[in-house]
Amino acid sequence: MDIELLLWLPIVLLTLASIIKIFNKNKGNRKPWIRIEEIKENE
Amino acid sequence: MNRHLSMRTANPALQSETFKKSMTGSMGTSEVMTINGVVNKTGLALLLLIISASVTWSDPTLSGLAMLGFVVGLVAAIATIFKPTIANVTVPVYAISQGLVLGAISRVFEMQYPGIAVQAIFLTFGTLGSLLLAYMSGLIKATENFKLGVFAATGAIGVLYLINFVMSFFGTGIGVIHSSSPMGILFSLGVVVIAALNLVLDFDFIEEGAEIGAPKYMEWYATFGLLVTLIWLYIEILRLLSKLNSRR
Repeated sequence: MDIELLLWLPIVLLTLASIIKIFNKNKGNRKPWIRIEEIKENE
Repeated sequence: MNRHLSMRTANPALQSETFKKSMTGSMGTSEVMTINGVVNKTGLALLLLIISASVTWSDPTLSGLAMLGFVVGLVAAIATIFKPTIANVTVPVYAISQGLVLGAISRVFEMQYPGIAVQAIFLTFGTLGSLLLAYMSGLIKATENFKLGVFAATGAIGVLYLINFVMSFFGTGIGVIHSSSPMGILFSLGVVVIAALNLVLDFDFIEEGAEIGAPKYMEWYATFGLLVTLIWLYIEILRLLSKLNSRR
């Protein structure tokens, strides 16, 4: 195996970690399908 | 409080003081620095660099042109640092002249180890892309400690290279810089990592400039900083690859 190929390893890992981070960040911002709200009296 | 304001950067061209100086002269001007503007100018500068590099790359007899490029590039870099307002002229000149130098250097390495230049180009842009993504995602943040660490490491490398340069006049040098031994390869790998981390400081500088509304000409100045780091990174990757190839 070419040892130069190993130099791509940190680049690929960093890219994957960034993509996962972006994906997880957006996950929290998604609007929920159902929203349950408490209804107060006389509302 | 702006998280960039107490910024430290290893790149001598990119420091917060630069913004403060530029801001005093830009009050009342309508056009301000934008990230998009920096991206466009960096693309243009890289295009100029690649075109001029292809000239010395394709004709090995043009080594004199590469020497001229080195001198002109040095003058353009100094002019850019001391007078950022003329960066729109000096940065394209810097890109063209450095392209001539890089084309000749790449040619020399390529003759020794065929395919090395293409590998180095892909690795440089791969590093740029992955670090940009890491910065945008928030995986890597340019915190105060991060900046201080990169600044100290870059300074140490600079001092080491300077000592090596002085020692070369006496026919000697620091072995680990040029050696293909495991220690030499480890040293080169470390330098590549530090050069790559300087890109994060450049991104932070660009973001800060856009946030505080620095004047338009600072787009060229930020492009210059990014170009300096990319050229350094490319040369160090080229050196690392040549060390790895020489062990075969």
